[in-house]
Amino acid sequence: MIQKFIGLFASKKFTIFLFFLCLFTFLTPNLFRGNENGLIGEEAYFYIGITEQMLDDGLLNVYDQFSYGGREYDYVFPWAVILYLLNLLFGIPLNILSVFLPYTLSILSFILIYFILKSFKFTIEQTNIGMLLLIISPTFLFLSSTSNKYILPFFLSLLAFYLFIHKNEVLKNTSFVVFILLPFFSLTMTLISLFLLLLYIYFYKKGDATFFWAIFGSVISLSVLGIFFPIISTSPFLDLFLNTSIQKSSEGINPFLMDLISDFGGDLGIGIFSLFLSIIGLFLIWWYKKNVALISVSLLFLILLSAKKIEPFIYLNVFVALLSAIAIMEIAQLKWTSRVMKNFTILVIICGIVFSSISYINELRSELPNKNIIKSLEFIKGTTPVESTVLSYYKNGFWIESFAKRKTVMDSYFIGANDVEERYKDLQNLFKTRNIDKAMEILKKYEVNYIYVDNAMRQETWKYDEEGFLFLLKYSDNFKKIYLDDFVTIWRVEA
Amino acid sequence: MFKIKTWHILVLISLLGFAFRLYFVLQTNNFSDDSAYFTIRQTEHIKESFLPITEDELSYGGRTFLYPPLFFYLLAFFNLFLPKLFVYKVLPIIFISFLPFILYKIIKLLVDSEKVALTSTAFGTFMPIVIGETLNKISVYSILLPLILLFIYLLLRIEEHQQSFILLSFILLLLHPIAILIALSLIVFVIISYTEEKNITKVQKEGILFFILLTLLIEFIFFKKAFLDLGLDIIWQNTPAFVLENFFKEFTIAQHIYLLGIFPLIFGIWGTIIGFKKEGTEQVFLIGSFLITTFTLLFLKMIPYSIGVMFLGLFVGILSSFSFESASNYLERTKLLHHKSKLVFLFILILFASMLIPAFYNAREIISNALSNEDIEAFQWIKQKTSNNSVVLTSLNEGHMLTAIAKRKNMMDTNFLYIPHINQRMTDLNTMYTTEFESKALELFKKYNIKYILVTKETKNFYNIQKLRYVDDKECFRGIPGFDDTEIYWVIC
Repeated sequence: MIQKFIGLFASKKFTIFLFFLCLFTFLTPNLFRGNENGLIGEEAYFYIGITEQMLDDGLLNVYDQFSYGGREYDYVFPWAVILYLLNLLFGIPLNILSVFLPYTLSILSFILIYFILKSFKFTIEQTNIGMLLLIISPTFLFLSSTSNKYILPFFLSLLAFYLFIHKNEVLKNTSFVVFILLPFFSLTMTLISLFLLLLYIYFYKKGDATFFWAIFGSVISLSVLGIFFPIISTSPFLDLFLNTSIQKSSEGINPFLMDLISDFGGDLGIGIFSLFLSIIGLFLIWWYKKNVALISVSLLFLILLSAKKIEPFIYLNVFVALLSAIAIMEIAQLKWTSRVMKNFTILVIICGIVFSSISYINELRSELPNKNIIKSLEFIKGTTPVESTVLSYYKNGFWIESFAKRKTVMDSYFIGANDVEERYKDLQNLFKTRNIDKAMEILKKYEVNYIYVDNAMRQETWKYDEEGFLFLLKYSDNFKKIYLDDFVTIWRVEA
Repeated sequence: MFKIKTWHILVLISLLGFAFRLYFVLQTNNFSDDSAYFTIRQTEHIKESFLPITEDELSYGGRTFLYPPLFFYLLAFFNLFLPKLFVYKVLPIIFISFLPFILYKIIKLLVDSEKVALTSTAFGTFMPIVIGETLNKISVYSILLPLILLFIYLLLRIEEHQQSFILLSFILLLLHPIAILIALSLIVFVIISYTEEKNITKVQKEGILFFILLTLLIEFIFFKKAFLDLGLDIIWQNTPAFVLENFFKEFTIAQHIYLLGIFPLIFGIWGTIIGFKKEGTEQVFLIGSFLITTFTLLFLKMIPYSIGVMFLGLFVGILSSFSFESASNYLERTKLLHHKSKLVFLFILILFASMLIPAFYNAREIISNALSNEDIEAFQWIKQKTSNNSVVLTSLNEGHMLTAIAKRKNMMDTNFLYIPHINQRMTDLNTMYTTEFESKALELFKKYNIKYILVTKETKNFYNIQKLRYVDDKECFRGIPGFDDTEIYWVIC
């Protein structure tokens, strides 16, 4: 029975089925979410905000009047530039672009991965099962259904790699152009692509000098970036190793594990069952000595880099899908003492992988913002003076800027922000204090007019109902509650 | 002539255990644990709608609850054709009465002597902690204990019982999350076997792989949301710090002696040493792995104290068979051999006395802690005289009783998982019973929309109060007459 089942994966029809499956699956989180809840996550609104500023002020002259009380960006945001250009050229609304651009690029990336894997020595069953696992992997679901900065450079790096390994010399040389483009979109992904390419040449194409053209192209781009955007020239690997004290909060889970495993909350993480299978797969390629050096060194590099950045998880996910496919094939083809046990084990594995994906789709579907947030921010937009400043925790920043069009004290874009560490410390002190003088001093410092608290912020910031600043908001005459619903409360600063 | 066979003695042990429990259980119509009433609610809901309660409108005034439901389904199934008294009082005793048979089967794999196996079986059956945790509580452990031991037996004999092993794996995981203990123990078993260069058979490896993957899947299905919210703190199931202080008691030798019995404890430790040092068989490693895992989890305070000690006692009890065998062999080499039968009789008598006396007192205490009739009347009054949406303040250990008997919303009960700001709630609950300030109490009543306050004798003992200090204000609180020790107040303000 299992053999027949595995046989299905070997057919070309199945490859076509995979293509249609990816067309549908990548759309599901947004499809189930509904229009009233807006786009998924914070990042989408950050890019919409920046793009709107570009449309107002021009491509290279972006002044964000809302973020951190008003700030200039010393560099451009490639994802926002693409949104800007597509909006300008075709007039497609930004919220539509924010859904369909990542979706389209994900499908193209998926196709490129298929062709790249085909050129290596993997069986058609392994490739097809790997591709199936990739479609339902949380990483790909995230990339395809949210407006994010990763999908375009990921697509470009795959394109560059695919062109480079192509037998056609013209196409191979075209990869040089893509390698020139790549650093403009992501330094981390450029580094990863060049490293993987280096490994490929070392293990498969020793003596291929074209690689140095790829490096040359990337270095040219880096130099251009360094000349035009000083923040990068002062720290060329800022994008790679930027660290602030503002780290992702996690209750009880190690942050690396949280990022690595989607079931623990990592946006770009890997399903726990896939991870488990990939460990078996890794063991198997060591056992059979197939592509062992290339895969092992790549994994080691990506895991080391992922301790600092989350982009490597995207590439790691491809390896995990492939290794999981190898493990599934092996488990299915291995002679088990008990056939019943074998069938049940495979069934449990399939259920585990599918469960991870379904629950991740559900998480994406119910991701903030929700309709309460949108409605409350529209209330701010409609009832407060234009120059007002709204204080909330940094994760609400982009939504306040995008929906309410009001200034914030902080948002999630820390790079290059004024006094980011000081602002963060001030807000932490404010949220903890019950001293009204101290609170008012901080509010005055940032000219705060309104305070915006939602349930997500309450949960992350305070443990008790009247803890710290919440006590002041409840009992002090300096604050007047002006908005209340099930999810959001807004106060006006009176003094 | 009638010849006594092993199975006769096993049936006798089982019947003695059954009678012992039944004697105590039938002394009261009520139950000795708050969670018993939660089980009743779930069972009755399943009986009516075929589904467990997942969105509970009464608990915490409304909350989500996801939990392996098989035990509730099992009780609901029997409740279709058996009376409630039988299902809630007698059925759990019947479940636990299978324990001696399975214990014997496992111990027989360890030692040759039937007499030794029977003695160890009897100890396991009458261990005070085992009786205490499964008596008059509709406890899931009544069925879990025999099934976990059956799982161990089936794994050791997996060649002949593959399908039973698979079926039991599903049953265990759908019964209770403590099945994680099994998965962890199996990992320890693999590691110990590998380091000691003992071969695990191929089919056993397959069984272990299957069970670990299944555990991962089922536990993630039920507890993924809780895992995301709490991270590794899920181990403590969102239990408030106040409760944790009592939940995970510190280890004391006196407690162990009382809960396990002094002789089983001594013989158990001795047997464990012999088992690991001299025998070193696959069976010893497997039982030893369970022992090590339980001890580690208990030491790290990751499982409730009483549950951990109960498992520890059972596994040590199994391994005590080695020390009994060793003592028996030693006796045969001494001059006391001529008095062997008398000595063995005396020895068994002392051992049983050391277990049965604590078991008896433990059981009596549990029965005396059962819900009183006056409390039942108070809950019935609430059910009849208050509106359906009323929130009633009860102590933590009476939350399920309220929802099950009075069918009214509680402010808090012992199912802490998925409840945000649990420490705040616990603090508020304690404040409402202990504060001197009426304004503070009224503020909290308003916050939780509480309309009635229930103060039972147990609540007064727990908070060490004679009465609530703020209820003298007749404009805000009206006492309900007709009860002696139990008090009910209507919050008017």
